[in-house]
Amino acid sequence: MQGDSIMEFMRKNKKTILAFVLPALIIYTAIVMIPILFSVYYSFFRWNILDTIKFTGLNNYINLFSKDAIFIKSMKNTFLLMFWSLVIQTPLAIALAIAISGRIKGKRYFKTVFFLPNILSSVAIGLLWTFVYNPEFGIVNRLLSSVGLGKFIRLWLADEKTVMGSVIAVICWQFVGYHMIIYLAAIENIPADLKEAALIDGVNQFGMIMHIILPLIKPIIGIDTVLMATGSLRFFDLIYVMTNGGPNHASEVIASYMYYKSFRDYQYGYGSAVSVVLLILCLIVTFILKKAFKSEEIQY
Amino acid sequence: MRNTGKGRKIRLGSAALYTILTIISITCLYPLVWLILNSFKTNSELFSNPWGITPSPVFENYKTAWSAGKIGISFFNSVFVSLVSMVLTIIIASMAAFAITRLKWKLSGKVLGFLLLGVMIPIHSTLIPLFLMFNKVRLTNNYLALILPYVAFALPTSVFILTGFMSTIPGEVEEAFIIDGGSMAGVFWKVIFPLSKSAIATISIFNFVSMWNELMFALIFMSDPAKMTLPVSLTRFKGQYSTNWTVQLAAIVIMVIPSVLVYLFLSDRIIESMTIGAVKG
Repeated sequence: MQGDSIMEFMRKNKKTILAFVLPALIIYTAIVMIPILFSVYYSFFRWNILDTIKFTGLNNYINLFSKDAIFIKSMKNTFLLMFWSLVIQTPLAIALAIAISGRIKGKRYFKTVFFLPNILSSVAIGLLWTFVYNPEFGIVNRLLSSVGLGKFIRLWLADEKTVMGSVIAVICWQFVGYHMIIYLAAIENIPADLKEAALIDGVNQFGMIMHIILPLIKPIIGIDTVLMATGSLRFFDLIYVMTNGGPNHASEVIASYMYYKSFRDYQYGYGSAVSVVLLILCLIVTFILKKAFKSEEIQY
Repeated sequence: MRNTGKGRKIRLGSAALYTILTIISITCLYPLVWLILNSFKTNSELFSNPWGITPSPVFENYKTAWSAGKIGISFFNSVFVSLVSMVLTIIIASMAAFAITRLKWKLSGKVLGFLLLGVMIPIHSTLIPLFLMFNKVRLTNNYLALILPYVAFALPTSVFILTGFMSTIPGEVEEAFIIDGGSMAGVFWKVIFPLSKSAIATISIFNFVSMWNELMFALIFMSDPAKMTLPVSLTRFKGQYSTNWTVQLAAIVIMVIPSVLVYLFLSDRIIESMTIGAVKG
């Protein structure tokens, strides 16, 4: 009894509480939260490195959406990247997860190998793939010419028409294993008796996938879609390494454009406006997708 | 009859499945194999024979990349920054999680909610203010300019995972310690912290991987070649040795090999750590 009350007393000690929580709270507030407010504040100023700083109200935002063709292009590319990531990776990741779920031989090998690109730095992966796409000695062009498809040889990353597709292919290569693991865990969490009951009812493989697996992993599809969508919005590393937004801004995305405006052109006000748009998009997409999937959650 | 037909169908189906899975796994591995094989070639050999294994491997590429290309210095910068950031994150995040789950105060739920907001925030929206702030206090090109943001942005997910774990530890263990005359700091360091070691291992792994690979902060806050981390100096390297392809390949191998080696031994643990935060969020 006495131990209990001493414990209660000590658990409520204000000094102890502050000592434990303040380090995290201070560093997080100072480095994450306060800068966000400053970004919003800066975005209302015309602020070039050589110029005077001048309040311009919403002008930066108006210019972004009405006059800045490159920004519009980078928005389009970002959503293109998001769209194709979702359309290619989600079905592929689910299919792979289903394929290696259960007691398949070599499961550990497939799991480990498919996930491998995720532990590598995007910089190394980006550089490696610029070699793969290299017009002279790269794997892609050599492969095409050796199987008689020489007419498809391209300057993959230097051609405005192929650059986004080439980057999206690398994104899928890098991340599909990650999403596969998420679905694999979800599929293996489906109670075994549910599957057995379906088998007794004479459900075949296809029916099992359509009527048991897919409906039951729906909430996870929702979570994973949010992950992929917000990840796509923030995308920077591979673009920076492989194309630097080029050629002629053809592969510019919001994050790379924000970097370009802020740290190449030194337009801090304008760059801040781009970063605020990015933040708002992240919040909106998270909110919409969470809402869309939450209304249909299913209980086992 | 029907039975054998069905059996053959299944065997055919699984043969097709294995073929597809094997092709995809080769697609995952081959670029890496190609990278390593070609990093031992000379430039001219890369052009004449980009597929095969070289009969006379050159180690010169690695020497050039490591010393003249300053990859060696960057390697140690990366190790230092990632390790210090990881250790600080472990300590600060588990202290906060301890306060939130084991101590009693009205605002604990609100503070957790405030910390978790960070999961949605893209680092890009903090870059300009942080850059101006670090410039003002002369922190750019100081290791702290990376360590502070790495820790700050690692806190939300880390605290989330640790609070989830710590809330399941029963209160009796702490009471026994306090009755024996221990302090609350002692409860944390000697009871809760050691008991949380599996959750701590999880956050250590995924934080270290993302800190080791981080590009954007490092690109903007570290312009001095002596302080650069590996991802940044690799991007510089591309310009510096733009025509010396095989030296670039060797530099990429130096960046990639430690990750792959650790992964070979701890793959299950790493896969679990890197995906657990995502699904629980």
